[in-house]
Amino acid sequence: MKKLKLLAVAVSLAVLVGGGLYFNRGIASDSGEKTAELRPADCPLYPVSPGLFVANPDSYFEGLSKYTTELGSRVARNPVTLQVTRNNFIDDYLFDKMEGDGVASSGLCTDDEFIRRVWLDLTGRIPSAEDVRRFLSDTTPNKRDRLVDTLLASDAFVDRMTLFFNELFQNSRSRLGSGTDVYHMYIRNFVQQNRPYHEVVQELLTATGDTYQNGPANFLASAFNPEANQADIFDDMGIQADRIFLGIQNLCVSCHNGARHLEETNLWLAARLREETWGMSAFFSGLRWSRERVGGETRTIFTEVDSIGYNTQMGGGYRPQRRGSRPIISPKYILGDQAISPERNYRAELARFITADPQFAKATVNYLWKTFMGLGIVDPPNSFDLSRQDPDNPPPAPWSVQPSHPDLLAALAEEFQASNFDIRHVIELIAKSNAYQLSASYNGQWQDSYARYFARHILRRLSPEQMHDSIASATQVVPGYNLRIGYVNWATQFTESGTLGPFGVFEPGNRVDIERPDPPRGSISQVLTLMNNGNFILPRIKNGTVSVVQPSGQPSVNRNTLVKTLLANRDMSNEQIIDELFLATLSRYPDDREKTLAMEKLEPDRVRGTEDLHWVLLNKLDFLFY
Amino acid sequence: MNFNFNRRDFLKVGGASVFGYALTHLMEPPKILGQNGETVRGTAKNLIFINLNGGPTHCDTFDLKSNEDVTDNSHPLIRPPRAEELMGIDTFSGINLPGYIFRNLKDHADKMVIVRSHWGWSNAHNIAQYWNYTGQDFNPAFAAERPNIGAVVALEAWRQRQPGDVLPGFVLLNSNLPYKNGFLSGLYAPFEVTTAYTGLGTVLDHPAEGGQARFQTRWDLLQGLEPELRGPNPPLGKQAADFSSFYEATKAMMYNTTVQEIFRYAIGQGSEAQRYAPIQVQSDGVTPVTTPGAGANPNGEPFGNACLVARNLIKAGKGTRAIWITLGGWDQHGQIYGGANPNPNGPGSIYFLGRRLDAGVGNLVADLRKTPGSQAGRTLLDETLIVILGDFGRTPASRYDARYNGTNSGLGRDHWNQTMTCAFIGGGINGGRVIGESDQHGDRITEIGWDPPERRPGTGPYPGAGPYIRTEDLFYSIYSALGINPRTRILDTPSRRVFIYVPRDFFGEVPLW
Repeated sequence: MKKLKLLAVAVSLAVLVGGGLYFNRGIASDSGEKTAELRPADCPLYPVSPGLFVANPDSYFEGLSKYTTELGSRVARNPVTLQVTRNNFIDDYLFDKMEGDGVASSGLCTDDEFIRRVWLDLTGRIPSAEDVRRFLSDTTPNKRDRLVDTLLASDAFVDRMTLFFNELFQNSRSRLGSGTDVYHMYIRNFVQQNRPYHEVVQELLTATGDTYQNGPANFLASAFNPEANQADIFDDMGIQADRIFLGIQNLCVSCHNGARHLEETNLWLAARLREETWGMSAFFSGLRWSRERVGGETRTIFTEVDSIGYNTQMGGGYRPQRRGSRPIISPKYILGDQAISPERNYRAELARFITADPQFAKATVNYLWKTFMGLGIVDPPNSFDLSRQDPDNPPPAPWSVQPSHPDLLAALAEEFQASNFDIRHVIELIAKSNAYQLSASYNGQWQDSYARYFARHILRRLSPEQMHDSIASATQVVPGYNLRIGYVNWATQFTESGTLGPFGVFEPGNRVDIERPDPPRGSISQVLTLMNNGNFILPRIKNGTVSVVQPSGQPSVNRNTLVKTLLANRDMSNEQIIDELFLATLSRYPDDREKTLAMEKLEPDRVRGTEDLHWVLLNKLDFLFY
Repeated sequence: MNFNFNRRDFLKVGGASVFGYALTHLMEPPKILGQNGETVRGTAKNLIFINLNGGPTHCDTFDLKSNEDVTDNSHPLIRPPRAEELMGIDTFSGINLPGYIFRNLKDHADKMVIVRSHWGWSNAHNIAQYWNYTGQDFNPAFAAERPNIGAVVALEAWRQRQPGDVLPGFVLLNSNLPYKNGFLSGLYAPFEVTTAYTGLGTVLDHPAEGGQARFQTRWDLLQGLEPELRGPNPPLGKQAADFSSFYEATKAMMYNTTVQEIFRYAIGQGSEAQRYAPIQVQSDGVTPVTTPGAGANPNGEPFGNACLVARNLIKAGKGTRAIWITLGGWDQHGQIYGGANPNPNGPGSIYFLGRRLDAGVGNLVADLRKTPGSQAGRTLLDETLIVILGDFGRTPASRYDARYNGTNSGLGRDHWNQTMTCAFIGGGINGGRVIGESDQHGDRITEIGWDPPERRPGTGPYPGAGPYIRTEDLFYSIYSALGINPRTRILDTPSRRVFIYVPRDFFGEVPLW
């Protein structure tokens, strides 16, 4: 009790801080120029005046500065005709824009670039040497489309998308305990069955019962915060739904109105009132729960009671005191005026409002687009500014329309709706577009602003999961793990990032508070792991065996590394060994120069040379990036 | 010193760089904006942050209260009489400290300034710890992108790197940090080290048959196979080029005898590891079990070993400018004096935990103090600012029923942020002083110890901060000591919010000098 009371003191102090009127005295830049007075800020986030906006040292995409996301402002508008053909409507929107603005695209990627990219994107790992060889020698037409179809039908794709939704929904053991496993299996099932996404969302928003039994009940349970009161939890449930399903980030507006805070960040949010957030929170106000600590983890059992709305009079919690215009706030959808039926089946109504909203479809396809194209049409994809979406009704200067391609976003969203919210269909459209299949190398002078045109493939470092799974695949020693959900082999199947072991240094994010950095960043620890890890990596490039854990109750099995398998085959020439290592690791054949260099290592000592070459290939930048 | 970023500073970076490409994008001015007119001290080069996780009991350590000074008859005892005896309360260089606990630190009180008028912002561990990492409030909208102060110091110090500075700017020793470099590059990420007396052999060696020669063969082949990817104008873009520069940086650390020596230390009877570990005392709480050092674990313990390696890092001066060490165990809700019969060797007691802190930091301070610095007449201690800060203080005797003799019913203390301390040692500050004062129990701040006009009660733009010393003020002072402009702003963060090292102009420098 004492602790709670003290906490209240801390919170009320924070309110005082928040309530203080403070005017920044104006900031002089390096050149001595006095810039505009900043606005009063009562939150430690300072708005930045337009003239001062410069990139941070680690920003990789200049095209993403917050005001100038509109394309065409910085390039000479000399229309060009692109050399690439078009495969579906995505190409029409992207290539039309490039042609109109005079931005040339790179050419289509080669078959080896494509197979590696599409495998990593759709399965989370690189293809085997055999897959690559077969694909490269295939001369039938449409082989790329058929490969996409094959991968979309694979179990690996199901696991890969399960990981995607686990991250999107922040399915984390620290919040959900064993619920995380039930939730994981629920997600995997809906991905496997490719259930219409709006149905899934409706289940997530309306679930009740025991989080250890009922998977979707975990969606709302992940909004629980240790220091929260009931009103905070309702707020967090609404905020979570807004972010994940609508792509809007109204967390800020749950503590204070948008005015005097967000003018320089998000025009739409700047006009929002705290009470509007409560209107969304009120949809959850009939929820009640019991929470039970079991072995250091918490299980939640939800029930639903009849409620008339959200109580603003609740004390404590971690947000500034609520002072509503009325003590009880009725549910009101933040993006519309839909009437609430007198049955007061609030959450079901919210689920209907959200899934019928075009913004739901836009947000969802944009999350997917970001995943496969490297940059969102709106980026970051959880930060839509709804006042900056309509090119026919542009926002005031210095703002520009937020999406790089508003028409494409609308078209993808319509397609998603028309397909009965078929996630796999959207991914298929993206993967089969020629825009997705552009090469990473660009002929001519590349400019950062071209990134938002998607004028070439945007290279990405492998994620920690892709790193784990690709090294496992390249060395042909796939590890085993006995998790609570059962026996798994691939990192896409992990229920928590802790299982990644040494690959944790590649910053997977913790699914709760810390998102994975975007784009991923390098570090010395990562390189040390890649070069020197003596547990996972180095044993896998040795001429030897590695012990692999089997399902519980069965003894471990020793597996030969690829290096050992190749060396054991007396019929293999050095040249063939080199080919195999390149195919298995880089998904391509070596070029002549590479082969010559590698041969020089294998000739004097075949065993050492083979081991050394495999180590080198796993450390090559074109293994680590795709 | 008027500190100011300008283009020339940025251009200097390139010449001193060991990381080729990664810095070129840092050199494009102006990326980081300083503000004119901010005066900083620049008396220190290095920062060692000792984070006391759990919240140390201020009234038993750096804001020591004594039963003798209590006049309040309703709460006459700070602690039970036997517990009081074991403290060894005395005055050292004008500062009252528990001499039996701080048996090493007490000799360096002349280099220490203790802030006793620090009012923390939070009584919740996770939020209070976040303040320690960043000097800023936990705001869920962008908490994850805020960098730890060590990463900021590494970023700032990058401009001064010399060829041969092969170690990362920020090193984390035997500790975990949930929030690390935030949105800053991996260049400034903490290099996470679990100390071992054998050094970093398992991390910095290539564990393959053939060892170093084998590694060199592999390295050469790697370079040979992708000269174009790792060359001056790499085709894979900035991210890959940066990654390539981490290869260079890592290679420079491997098989580097200087680096290996830094992370190695001796163990066993009479070793340094033992010297940095807390001694066992006899039941009088004073007398070492045998001779000093001999009663301690001859192999040291994690906190002491971290302090020992920190010393080596500072002494070697190979590019590490910020070090973070966390010592946990301070959340002493119960048995703070080791139970009803105080046990000076009880591992969870303030005596033993305090002696761990003392053995580590006290010996670190002593060793740095003995070592000449880079400038004539200064020691390494003068050039290294050591900051000891916890989550908050702990609830004083005045808040408990007197029948428990100063503690709660579980013989411990709870969370208390309204009076807490921060100890600064070295770094060119003017030591032997305390700033601020609390009442006889350590309940309320009675003297603030500074008088910034804009912070007087009822005035100023920020009444919530009051005139008390706030965490922002502490961080402002740390940045100032290190010659870093605390008003520096970095723009275009992932959340699109500007990052200011110390936001809000009305926080300022604590009079440490």
